[in-house]
Order: sequence, then C-alpha cells, then structure tokens
Amino acid sequence: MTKAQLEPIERYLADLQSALAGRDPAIIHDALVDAEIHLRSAVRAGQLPEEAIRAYGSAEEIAQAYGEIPGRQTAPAERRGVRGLPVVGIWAEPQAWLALVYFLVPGFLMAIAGFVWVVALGALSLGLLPVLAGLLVFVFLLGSSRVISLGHGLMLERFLGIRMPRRYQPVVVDTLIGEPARLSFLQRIWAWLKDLRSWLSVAFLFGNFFVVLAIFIGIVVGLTAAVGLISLPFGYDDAARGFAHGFVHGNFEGLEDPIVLHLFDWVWFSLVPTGEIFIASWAQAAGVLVGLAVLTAVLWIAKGLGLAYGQVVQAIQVSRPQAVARRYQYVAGDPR
Amino acid sequence: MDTSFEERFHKGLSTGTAGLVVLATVAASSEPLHGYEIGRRLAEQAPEGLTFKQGTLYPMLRNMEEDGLLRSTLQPSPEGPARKCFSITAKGRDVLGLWRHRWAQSSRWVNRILGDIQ
Repeated sequence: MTKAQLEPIERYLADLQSALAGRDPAIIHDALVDAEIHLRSAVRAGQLPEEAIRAYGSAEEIAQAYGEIPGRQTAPAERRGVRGLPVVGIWAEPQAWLALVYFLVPGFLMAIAGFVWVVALGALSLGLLPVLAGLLVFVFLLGSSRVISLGHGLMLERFLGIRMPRRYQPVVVDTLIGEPARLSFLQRIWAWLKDLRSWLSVAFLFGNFFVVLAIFIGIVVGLTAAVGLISLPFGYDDAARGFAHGFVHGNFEGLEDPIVLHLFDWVWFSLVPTGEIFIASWAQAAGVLVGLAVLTAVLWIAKGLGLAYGQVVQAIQVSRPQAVARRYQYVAGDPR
Repeated sequence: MDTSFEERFHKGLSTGTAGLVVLATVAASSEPLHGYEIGRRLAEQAPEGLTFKQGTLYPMLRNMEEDGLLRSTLQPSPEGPARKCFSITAKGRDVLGLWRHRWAQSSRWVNRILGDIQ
C-alpha cells in the first residue's frame, strides 16, 4: 500500500467529517468507521481508491444518508401538565428517574465489573510477564476493554438517551491494506500495544469506577436523607418507636436531663433519658417539605449528571486518537 | 439534455427502492452477509448506468437492525477487523413480503400508464 493510495481515503474521511459537522458525535464516529472499513475492504479487493470512493458516494450524499438517523434517542419532552411546572416538573421527567436508576443499578454494577476486569487482568498480566504469557493476557485485556466499553455505551444509551457509537475504530493491525498474514506474531502484539484507542478503553474502565462510585454515594446519601425526612410522620408515633426512634435508640443512662430543642419559643424536638423522643407535628411537616426538596434536588442533580456523564463517555468513545494515515504508515513502515 | 433531470429521477427512485433491494439481498443469502458484500452484490446486479451509492447502505442496515428487520453477528475476518454480518429476521421477512407486494402493485401501475403513452 503506497501513500498515494492512502491519501485519497484520508482526504475523503476528512471531507466526510466536514460534511457531517454539527451532527451527533456518535453518528459522525460511526459514519467515519463505516467508510474507513468499507474503503479499505474495497482497495484490498483490488479497486482503486478513487473508484471505491466514487462507488461509496460523495461526502455530501453520505452525510445526508446518516442525517436520517436520529441523534439522541429521547426527543425533548413536551413540557405540559406537571412537567411544565418550574422546579417540581422534574418529578414527571422520565429522563431524571432513568438517570437515577442508571447510577444506582446498571451503571454502578458495570463500573464495578469493568474495574475488577481491568485490575484483575492487569495484575495477572504483570504477574505472568516474566514468562511472556503476561503479554498475551495484556493484549486480551486491551481487546476485551474495547468490547466492554462499547457494550457499556449501549447500556448507557438506553438509560441516558445519549447516542453511543455502534462500532469501534479499527485497531492498528486491522488497518492493513496489504497482506496482514505477513505480520509476524510479535508484530501483531506490538501493533496492539501501540493502539491508543485500546489504552483509552482500559483507562476509561479504570477511571469510570471512581466517577460512578462518587455519584452513587452522593445519590444514596441524598435519597436516604430525603426518604428519612419524608417518612418522619409515618415512622413516628407517641410511643416514639419506628423510623425516628431508630436514629436515637441506644443507651441513655448517662443522660440526666432531657434534650430539648427550641425554635424561638416552640419546642420542636425532645429526647428523654428513657429514649423516647418527641417531634412536634409542625416540625414533622417541615421535615417532609425539606425531604421533598432534597428529593427534587437529587432528581435534578441525577438528570444533570446523567447528561454530563453521558456526554463525557460519548466524547471518550468517539475520540479518534490515531489518524488513519498515521496508522497506515505504521503498518506499512515507510509507504513511499 | 440536462443530466440533472436524470439524476433527480434516479435519486428519487433509489430512495424508494433501496430498502427493498437491501432486504431482498440479505433474505436471498443462505449465510449472513457483511455490508461490503451486500454492496458488492447490489452493484454487480445493477443495470448499466444505474449506480447504488454503497455508503448509503450502512445507515440503512443500522436502521433496519434497530427496527428489528435484521439481526447482526460479529464474525472474525482473516483480513482485518471482525465484521458485522447481517441476516433477516422473521419480522424482516414479513416486511419484505409487504414491500414486494407494494412494489408489484406500483410497477404494474407505472407500466400500465407508460404502456398507454406508447
């Protein structure tokens, strides 16, 4: 494969990228990967690059064809009924609830699984490095991380409504247009080790765990506080049992005087040495209101974090750390 | 004669029939086909002067898969990256039957009118 054959493909991909400007990044990514793989296959089958590009379609035609794919899966919701209300409209927004569920269950589980996978295989490959098998395990980690990241993105898309790529950028070794069979075993391993896209996937699976863990903790703390406050009237009774009692239950033998909390002249909370508590009805009502406010805030935060997180993950997945030409040049050595 | 008339007519015709021929090509194959192979078969059978822009195939395949008309599997390729190969689903066959029927109706109608002119 000569540089003269590579340049038209490279130029075409740049034109296609320009023609797709403004479209959803995941669609641009898929369009570029589709074109790259197709043109490479065509050239490999003996077509001239110019011929293959002509048969593929002009950048404008192809951009138009991809333009018919919807970007975000979730259309902007109509702001009617409860949804139209300021602030509390979030209660009726499926996107907020889906983001909440995502960070609590599938996103969290996938983050743990990805982290464990990277750490376990990374450690195993290090351990086996002296017998060279570690290198193979590491290459397996690089390849599997790409697949896991792609699957992670598709799951994220279902919950957060941000379109994710359907295909991944080919690996260095994949971009051979000549005769890949001529690559030696060690050359193939080296090609994988040089593939930045795979390293990025491993880094994503590793770092994602800490981000999702922080979000998970924040949401659980917020939800627990909100549920506790909202359930105050239901958990509290005259015998001071139930939910509220749970917080103060313990050994109060050392407590000689009751603890009494005032707001101006009103007693809103008291704890007597027997462990019984008193929470004024108005204080319970205020607690419910604060709880609802906290839950509303958690929903807003979950929605906002869902959008921000989804866009960051999308940006990572669509990034093209290796230009086509550079990858071709590497495989072909000095094409000129 | 201004070639843009021909191009516009061809473009309109292709837009309407591309889905039908792609689905029919996948249905006619006994094994799953990858995008490049589908494009190659379509180009091979296209009458002279008619071109099918192969790049429009991929978004179409993706839409069909998302609509449940096709299913895909990743198959390793000795020459490069694993390729996404498509086969038709039961729903796809139903839809193809429907489209074939519509196509037969439309072509009969067009031919009848064209015949009247001649």
